[in-house]
Amino acid sequence: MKFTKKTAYLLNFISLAVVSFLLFHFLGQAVVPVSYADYYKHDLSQMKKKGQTYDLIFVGASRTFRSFDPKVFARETDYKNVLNAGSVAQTIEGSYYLTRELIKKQHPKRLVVGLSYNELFYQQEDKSPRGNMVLYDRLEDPLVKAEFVSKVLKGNDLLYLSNLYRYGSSISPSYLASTWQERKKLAESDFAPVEKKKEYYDGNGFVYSKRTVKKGATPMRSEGTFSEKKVDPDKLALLGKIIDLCKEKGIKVSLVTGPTSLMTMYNITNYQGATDFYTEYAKEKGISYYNLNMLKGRLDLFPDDAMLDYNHVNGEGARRASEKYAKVLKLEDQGKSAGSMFYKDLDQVKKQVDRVVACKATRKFTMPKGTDRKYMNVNSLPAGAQVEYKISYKKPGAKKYRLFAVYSNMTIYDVTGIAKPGTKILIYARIKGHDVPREVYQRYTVSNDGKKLTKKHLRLNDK
Amino acid sequence: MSFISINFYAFCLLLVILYYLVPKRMQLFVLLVFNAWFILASSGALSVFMLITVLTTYGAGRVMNRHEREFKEQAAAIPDITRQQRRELRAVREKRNRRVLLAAMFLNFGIWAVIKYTDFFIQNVNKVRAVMGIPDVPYAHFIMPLGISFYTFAAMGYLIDVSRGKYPADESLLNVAVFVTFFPHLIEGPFSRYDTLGKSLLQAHNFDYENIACGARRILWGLCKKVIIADQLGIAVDTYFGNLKAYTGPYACAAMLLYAMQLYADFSGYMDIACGVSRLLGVKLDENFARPFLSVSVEDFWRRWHITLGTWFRDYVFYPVSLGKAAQKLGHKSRKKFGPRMGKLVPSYLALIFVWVITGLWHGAAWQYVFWGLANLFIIVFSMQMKPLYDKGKALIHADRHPGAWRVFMVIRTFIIVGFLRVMSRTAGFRQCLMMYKNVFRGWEGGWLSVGKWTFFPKMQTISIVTACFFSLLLILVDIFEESGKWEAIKGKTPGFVRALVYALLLAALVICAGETAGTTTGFMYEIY
Amino acid sequence: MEELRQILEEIRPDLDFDKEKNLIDGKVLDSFDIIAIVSEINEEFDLRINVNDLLPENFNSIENMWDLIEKLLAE
Repeated sequence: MKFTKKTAYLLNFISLAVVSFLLFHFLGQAVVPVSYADYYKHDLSQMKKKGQTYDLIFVGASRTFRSFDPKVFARETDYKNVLNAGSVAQTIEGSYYLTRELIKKQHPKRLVVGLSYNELFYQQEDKSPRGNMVLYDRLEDPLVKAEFVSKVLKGNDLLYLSNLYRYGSSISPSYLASTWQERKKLAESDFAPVEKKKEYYDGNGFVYSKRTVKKGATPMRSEGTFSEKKVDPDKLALLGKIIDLCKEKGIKVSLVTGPTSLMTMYNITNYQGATDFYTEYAKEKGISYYNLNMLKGRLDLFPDDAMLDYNHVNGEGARRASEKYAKVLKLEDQGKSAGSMFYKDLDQVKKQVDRVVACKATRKFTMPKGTDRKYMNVNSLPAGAQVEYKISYKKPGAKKYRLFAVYSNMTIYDVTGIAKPGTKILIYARIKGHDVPREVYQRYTVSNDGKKLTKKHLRLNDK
Repeated sequence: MSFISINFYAFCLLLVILYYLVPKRMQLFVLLVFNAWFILASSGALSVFMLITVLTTYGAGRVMNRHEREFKEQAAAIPDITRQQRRELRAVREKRNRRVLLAAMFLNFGIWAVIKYTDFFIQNVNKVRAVMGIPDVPYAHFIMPLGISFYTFAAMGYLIDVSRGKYPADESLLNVAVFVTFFPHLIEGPFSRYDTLGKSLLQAHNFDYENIACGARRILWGLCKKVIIADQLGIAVDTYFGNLKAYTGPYACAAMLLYAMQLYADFSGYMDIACGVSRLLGVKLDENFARPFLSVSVEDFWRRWHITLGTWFRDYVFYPVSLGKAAQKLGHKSRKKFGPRMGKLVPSYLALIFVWVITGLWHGAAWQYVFWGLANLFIIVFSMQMKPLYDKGKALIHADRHPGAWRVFMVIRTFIIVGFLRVMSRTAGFRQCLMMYKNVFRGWEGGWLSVGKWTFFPKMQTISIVTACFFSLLLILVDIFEESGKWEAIKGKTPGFVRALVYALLLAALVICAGETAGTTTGFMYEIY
Repeated sequence: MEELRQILEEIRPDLDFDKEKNLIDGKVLDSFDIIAIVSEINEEFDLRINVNDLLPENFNSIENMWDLIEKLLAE
């Protein structure tokens, strides 16, 4: 058969398209790992089979899906079928589309939206679209999916729709083998939770974590600031749309901030501002907002062993948070306020803390952005306890830290003599005479021009 | 608009569709609109500089055409004109052309030089001021408009050709504008010539499947080079060059090797995309690479790497300077003093110094680039001067009996020399460059076997290492086949289905590796947010 | 033609210019040779050889070069 040039080229093109499609499709499927989305979708389809729907739904990011245990709510409230539809790095755009889809299919009686202090901030340029893709996996309606993608993926990010682009970095023979095996196990076990793992999917969207922070060593991450100027009005409008959408359908809405570590709250400048902002907003909309970090007795509710990391509770913490919040929802459903369960503001929370130990560098150096007093150890300690400080340093290229100043109650030290560029300075603090000596330290590195102290590490050491 | 963005290819698709839909006389206009769109998207307000270049180039060309017309009229007006009179008239035309040319060059090269080299100048001024104890002059931080190093040279080359009478200036502003602003040659070249690019660009083009297929293939190949080889190896190379102290011995060699490959894949990949995009429109862009790592000497290398840079500097700097009065005078003086051989070489060497200093500076506004240029020159001149000795040595070991092996030796030797030279342009300064050189010679205690399997590729994922290495080898193989002229035959013999599979695999590898460099660590699924 | 031959032989005494027909394309002459030849021709014949004329067809053989010289002399 002899083809004309045109036919030959068209045939070539078609064969290329077909082969590429097949390759991308099958290889793409092989690289998709088992994720919580698989379990989540399975739960939704099981509910559909049973002919039931969820009557309480949570949406929000990781501090939602890790903090609210559906089993607790089903037990403690009148809501029988509870879905935690939170997902990692869920954005407000994601929550909006998820809400739209869920209230259509599930007819819930109440929707709870989880919000962090920076939930509605303007998007940073380099923020990865992966959180949105995780949500994309959970949406089912193709039209909603398409609309969602068109709003959140621009330019090269559209390539995230290809599984090869999304998961390609993990490809290796062992990865492909283990992925295939996990998928097989999942089907064979009929989606049973794998409780042997450190964390596992525990049903209806909730992820149970057995990990805890090492006692006394809540790692600190970067600090932030809340300011109304940072709030993106478009995102705020989306939150409003979620609320309005629910109101139209007669669905009750609550706003909540899930629990985080006390240290995070101390290190976010104007944290109270975020709480006030959401409280005001909720009032305007005629709904409620509660910040679970302000719960009375929070020091005992969310200590280190209830925390997974600096920003999330683990399974035990989630149980406690859920029990408290279930009480809140019960009161709300009765038309009462749950205000008495909470402190008025962050200052009241802080008043519960007897002693805060902090470190500060000398005037000679510029401190990291924010205040120059960073709270390291937040604990209840006897009144009248005295704080002592010790300084060690390690010059660049040296192997060990050397002592610069022994423990004493001096509060100002001049470290210019030891602070060459690249030197690490370790400031220890402890309570004098305390039974169990608790030592915290804050490590600074001198910047390359010798003018700044940048904070590199913060740890709390419990001996 | 980056060449590796979906937006760019959407842009190209739209351009190709419109280009072939509109009537042929509108094609150039469509091109101009898309060129302008590309430039405005990239440079914004700085596009005004390109506008200035286009207008002054066009204007200067028109003026020179007028001089030519006047010359012809005047010559015709004199009956039985003598050779001497003709010469005089010609001299007048030359002088007038020169004035226009110099004005245009002063303006356009001036803009380029000021934007590019002001901070370099200030840096040196500040060094002097520091010695004298005067406070620093603040830096200007001028932003470079996209492509200024390429379109300026293309436009001025065109004007110089016109002034030399190679061809008359183009009387159409549209033509000149499209030539200068042609978007594929703005990001990394080539240095376009009016008589080659212009001829191809400014004619009408019919839709041809061959062009689309070839162009698309070339773009795909270029993307693969850039994304799979260059960007991935870049992760390791950046790690190496970011921590020079730590990497010695075999690692320092690995750093140089990987950098050479990265640079080649990056640069030639961009060129493939530029040529491929042009090919979609039926336009032939000048080639910039001819398998440079198969060159047998540094001189040969510069005829295969960044070819259009070499030819531009040859035609517009080397020849004019070496044939100019100053060089010739110097040549005569040296002939009298040092004999005929030196007399012949001095003007050329003088011109070469010019060429390499400017070439060095063109690559970067820092002394190390000047030094790099002169280092290249030194090696070329050195090998020329040493040629008699070298030939004797070659005869001694009977190299002519094993031409294949000798060729391999020359190729490897050249690669090593070029690799060493290139380090100068990658490190931040002289000190770091010397440190890298020193590192190559120490740290060999453990030998090659002491190096762990993957530690040659710091910070790279397994899939990155595998794809980058595989494709690098593939690239080398393809180059070798192309050099021997067998590549087209091989391509022709493979059946359509196999080729489709190969292209599909290339596409898949491209998407996988693009995602790889875009993302960070694995294990995102459980990342706490 | 003789003056031209003399120039060429002075610059490249190792070549036989009657036989060589592929001086440029065959890379027998390098750029330095060309520069030297051109500058000698310019001086000897009072010409100005343009860079545009530095083409292979003008310098591949002594006959080509002589044609170029004659052409330029006639202008």
